[in-house]
Amino acid sequence: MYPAPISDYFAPSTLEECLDLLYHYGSQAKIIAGGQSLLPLLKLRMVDTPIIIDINRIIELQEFGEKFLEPGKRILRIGALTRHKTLASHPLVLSKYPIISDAAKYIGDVQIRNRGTIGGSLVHADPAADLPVPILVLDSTLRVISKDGERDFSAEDFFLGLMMTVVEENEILAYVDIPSPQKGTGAAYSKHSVVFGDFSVISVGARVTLLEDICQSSRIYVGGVNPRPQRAVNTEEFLQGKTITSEILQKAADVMAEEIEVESDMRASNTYRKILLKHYGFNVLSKAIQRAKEDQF
Amino acid sequence: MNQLKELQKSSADGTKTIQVRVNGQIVEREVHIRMLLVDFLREELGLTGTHVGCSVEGRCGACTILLNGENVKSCLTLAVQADGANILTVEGLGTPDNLHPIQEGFWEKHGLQCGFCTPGMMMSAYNLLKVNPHPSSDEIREAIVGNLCRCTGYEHIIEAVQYAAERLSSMSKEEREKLLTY
Amino acid sequence: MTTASETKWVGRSIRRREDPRLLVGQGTYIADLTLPGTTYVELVRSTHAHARIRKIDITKAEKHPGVVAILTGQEIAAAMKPIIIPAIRPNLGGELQVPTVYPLAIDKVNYVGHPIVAIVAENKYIAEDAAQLVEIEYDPLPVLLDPEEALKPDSPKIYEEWESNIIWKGTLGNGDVEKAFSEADYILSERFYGHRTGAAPMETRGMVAAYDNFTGLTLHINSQRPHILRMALSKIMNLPHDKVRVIAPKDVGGAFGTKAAIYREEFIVSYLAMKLKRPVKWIENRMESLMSIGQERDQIHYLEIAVRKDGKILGIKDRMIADSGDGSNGVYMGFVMPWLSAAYLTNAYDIPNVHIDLTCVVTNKPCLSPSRAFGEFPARFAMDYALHLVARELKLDPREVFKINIIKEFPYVSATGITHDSGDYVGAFNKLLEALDYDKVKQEQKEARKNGRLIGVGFAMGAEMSGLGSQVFVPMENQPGYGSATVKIDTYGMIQVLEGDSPQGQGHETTIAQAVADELGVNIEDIYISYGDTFNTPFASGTLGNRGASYTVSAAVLACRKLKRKMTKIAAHLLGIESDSEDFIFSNREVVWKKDTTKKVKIEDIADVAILAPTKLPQGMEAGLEATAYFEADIASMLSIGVHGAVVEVDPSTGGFKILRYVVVDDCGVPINPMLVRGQVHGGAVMGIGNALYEKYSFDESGQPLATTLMEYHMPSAADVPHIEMVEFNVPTPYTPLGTKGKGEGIPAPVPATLASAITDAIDRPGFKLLNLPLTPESIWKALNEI
Repeated sequence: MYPAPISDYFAPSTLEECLDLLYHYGSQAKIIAGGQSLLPLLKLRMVDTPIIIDINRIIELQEFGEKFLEPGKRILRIGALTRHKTLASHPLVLSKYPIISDAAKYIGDVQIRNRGTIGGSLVHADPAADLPVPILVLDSTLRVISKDGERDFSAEDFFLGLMMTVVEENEILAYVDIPSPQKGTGAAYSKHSVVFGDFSVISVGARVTLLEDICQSSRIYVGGVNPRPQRAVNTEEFLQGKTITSEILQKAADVMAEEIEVESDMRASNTYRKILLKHYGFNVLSKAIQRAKEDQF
Repeated sequence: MNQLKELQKSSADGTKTIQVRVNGQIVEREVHIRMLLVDFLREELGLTGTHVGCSVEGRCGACTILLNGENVKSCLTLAVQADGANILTVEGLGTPDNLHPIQEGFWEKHGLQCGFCTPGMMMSAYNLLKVNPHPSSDEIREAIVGNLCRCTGYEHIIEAVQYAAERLSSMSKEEREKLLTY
Repeated sequence: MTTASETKWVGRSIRRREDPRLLVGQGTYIADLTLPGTTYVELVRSTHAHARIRKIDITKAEKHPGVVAILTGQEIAAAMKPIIIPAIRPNLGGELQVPTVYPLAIDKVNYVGHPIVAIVAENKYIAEDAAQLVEIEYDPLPVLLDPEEALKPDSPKIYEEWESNIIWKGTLGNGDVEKAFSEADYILSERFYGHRTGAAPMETRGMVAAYDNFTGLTLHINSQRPHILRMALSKIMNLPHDKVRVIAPKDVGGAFGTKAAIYREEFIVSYLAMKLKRPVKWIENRMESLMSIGQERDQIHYLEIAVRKDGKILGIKDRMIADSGDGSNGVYMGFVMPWLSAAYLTNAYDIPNVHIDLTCVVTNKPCLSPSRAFGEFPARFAMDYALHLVARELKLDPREVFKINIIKEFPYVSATGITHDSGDYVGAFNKLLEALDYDKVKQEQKEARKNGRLIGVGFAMGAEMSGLGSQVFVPMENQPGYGSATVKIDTYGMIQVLEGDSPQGQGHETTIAQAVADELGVNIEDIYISYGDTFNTPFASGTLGNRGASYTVSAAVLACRKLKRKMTKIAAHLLGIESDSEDFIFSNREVVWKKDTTKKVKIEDIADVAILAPTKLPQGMEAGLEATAYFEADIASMLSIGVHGAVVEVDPSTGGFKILRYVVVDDCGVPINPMLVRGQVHGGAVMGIGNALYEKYSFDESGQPLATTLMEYHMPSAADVPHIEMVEFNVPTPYTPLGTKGKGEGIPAPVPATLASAITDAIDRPGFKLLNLPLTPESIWKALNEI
């Protein structure tokens, strides 16, 4: 199975060049980074595009590291071209943002992680994908750029629906900024898949900030549900101010299973997805709490 | 009598000239933009050791090659994207008279039956052994998740990779590095 | 010096001779073959599961630059006979209705994926572009997906001229079943369902056809049975047999039965090559493959077992319903697999009274096509899991229930007529218990339970067909069961073996050579094996059904022995002695006189005389050094036993489980190459695990297939399966010259009962049972919540 004819291909080496191309060809062009989602769509002819813009040579999109946006406001900046492989194994991610490596580690397989990029995954916005959940959980900010200027979105505002984001035809996602977690914070992610590396049947990401044993705040998202990851607001409220015990987490997982809307498909029924939610909800919250406790010292 | 049709190249189907280093040799070709890298290797260069098993989404991994030092699926890359790249395919791994330790491992341990997944599988093993000289059997299993095999049940493949790891680690650093760079 | 009686090659785990080419990327698979001037076919397939074709519009596609030809159903139907001719139609008694099948749909489609239009273009990219331009209008018809629904009298019919949707119906069995049931202490009665799943080899099907007026049609195809396909092409396409040559490539990327059937594309591609006088190539893409071939299993068993209170089975009744799909594939027609499933239902157990009613039903799914463990997968699940359920109900140790029923005396003929040649089934079963350390596991289970961990142990057996002899094969598929081989010694004393089978990864070049090397006292490097070309190999039914080591290797051995008689005569003549054949041994590429070992002749010298210098032959002896043998065992069929055991741990909150150990005890008679046998066992067990746990051909209510890529058809990766422990327990069969038996076919079949019984043992709650495959965490969780 092969892509439909493509009339032109550009591989700009600077962001400016890329934005010019998008300005001219936006509606007729598709951006390719890792191509791990785009190529299947091209072969299935679900995407038919006259022009391909290959962004792999753009250095500006490859930024990766911590920086201060202003005094006291430290962030991890992840350029859109950062590969899953980096997210899965970079010491900085493993030590300070392990929820991201939790998610990146099990995206597809080694080959997919060598090519696939965070930008591609987020803009593709597959509800069963792994990276959107931690990006939402960490209250990230996403920068979208075009020749006309820059727009910043919270992760919550970035995802519009099933495979839909705010990114317009002439725009590109440049990077994701993740605020440095405050002390006493832990976050974790886990998913259920039918086989290793498959899309998630259900995925849960949670971030919890503790003072002693009391939950100061939390952010919880569930993935693998249509049309986009859903925030578990009631669960967050339930945990607020509570002294964390195993029993409380068990109850929180029940609240989560209750509030999240799930559907049936060939991978699992809606009833069973709720069972999985309880299980993974509990495990992920426990892991986040454990990490939060480790972070208190 | 059939009418003689003028076969003009469809204007929509553009081409680009690319230069790629494949198994140590630099080649230059004009390719259709939509051509998959695996077709470029198989059909333009005649390197048919790289196989296609899943046609669409890359799940099977039979087309795995090394592209700029990493194992990737050549059916999920356009040939034009490989312009300037350094590629290793199974044909560049070892020769029948001088097999690469990974090939030796697969032979010694019966790591292949039909052989269809084998070239891709060996490329993933290569990538693994480059970064992890002494992988455990679980690490090997995770490293080859992207390469499906229907014949062996993976058991002998794991033994094959372990055999290769031992062979490589018995060598001098230079020898070892030479065998894991291209 | 080695004597002829010492085994030098058979029994040794030598490296395979086919591997070097495969390891350096020089294998030659069908997709690697491109002839000068090749054109490429793309098939436009039905998007409806059941519909009338109202209109096919090819005008836009025809005009597309690069399109060479477009073929529709009418044209090709006019050029040949319907596909299901008697030569490839099974013949099993019972009641059969035969569908009329042409290569392309004409006015009606019966499943999603049914080919309708063939596009031929200058390259494969253009062929696909043009396929997008074909417009087809359909009038949808009611879709039948459930065989039990399709059986209802008021159900719409898929083939209007038929009396019902039943493609085949019949009974199997023997003995007095009613009496057995009246004497039973307990009768287990359950409905077991084995879902639609199958083999999916890594290489899809593919073919290249070429034609010229003088040599006729040459079809290169990765078929398991080139000779049978050649016959079918000749008859169906009305071509003289000498103008049809089928060649299977040297390397085939796995088949597992899927490449044994005769499908529609063979005729499409051959016809187009004849019409266009240009080579035509078609390589099935994975989506086509997953939506049209390799779908198997799919059986419902209403199984009743009458037992005595000590667990002895007195009799069984089974009402089997098989979903045959559209029943359109040549050789099997979607009912040979379920038939064999019924025939082998009693598995390794001595059950005198059996009655099986088998009904094979057509539905709007692709026709069942064979997959490793041919039909037996659901039957083994039903039978062996039922034995565990019986043990639970009667509060007996399942070990004892198995032991009391296992066949103990050989040869044994089952009530369904299956001959078990030889072996030690009880010994193999005991070996498994020993390998599992069964009593210790049961002890650990108790300890673990105290800590809230649910561990369980289970097992199942598989009496696996090791090739079927002509007595079975002729009535079943109108084909011989013998093995055939030609052994030729060439002018320089090298030995060529030609076989009519066509392997797909089994390692024939190694194993046949090992057997021949021993017979002729030569080195393995002195032998070369040829196969695949129907113009120069002896007729054979193909590489399938575990025939290789039972029949084909034996034929090669017999051919060697024929040849040896002639060679010793020549040797005696050249040495100037008078002696019997038995007075010579074959060793070190020489024929040596036992009475005085200094008297010997080199094989190459014998070849030189026999082929190049016939004047030196004994008076009146015919020149040449070659022999063909057809081996038929002196018994209807051979079987080999495999016993599987597993230890699992289950999480009852989600139904998730982990396989802690998986053990297979295996008997293949004499292993020609034990390393290759282990490879077969590992691969078979893992395929069984994939089929039992992850893989499923599912359909939505309109008949749209949901598993059309490998993202949805979940074949397990290395990280999804456990380490497989393999224990050899080999008992040579007296029915083959070397005591060898085929290995490979049935290995997946004991997996589902092994795992289901282990999970049931772990849960250990009254009423908990797993009656439906696949065994998913969700199905286990559901079963737990339905008690």
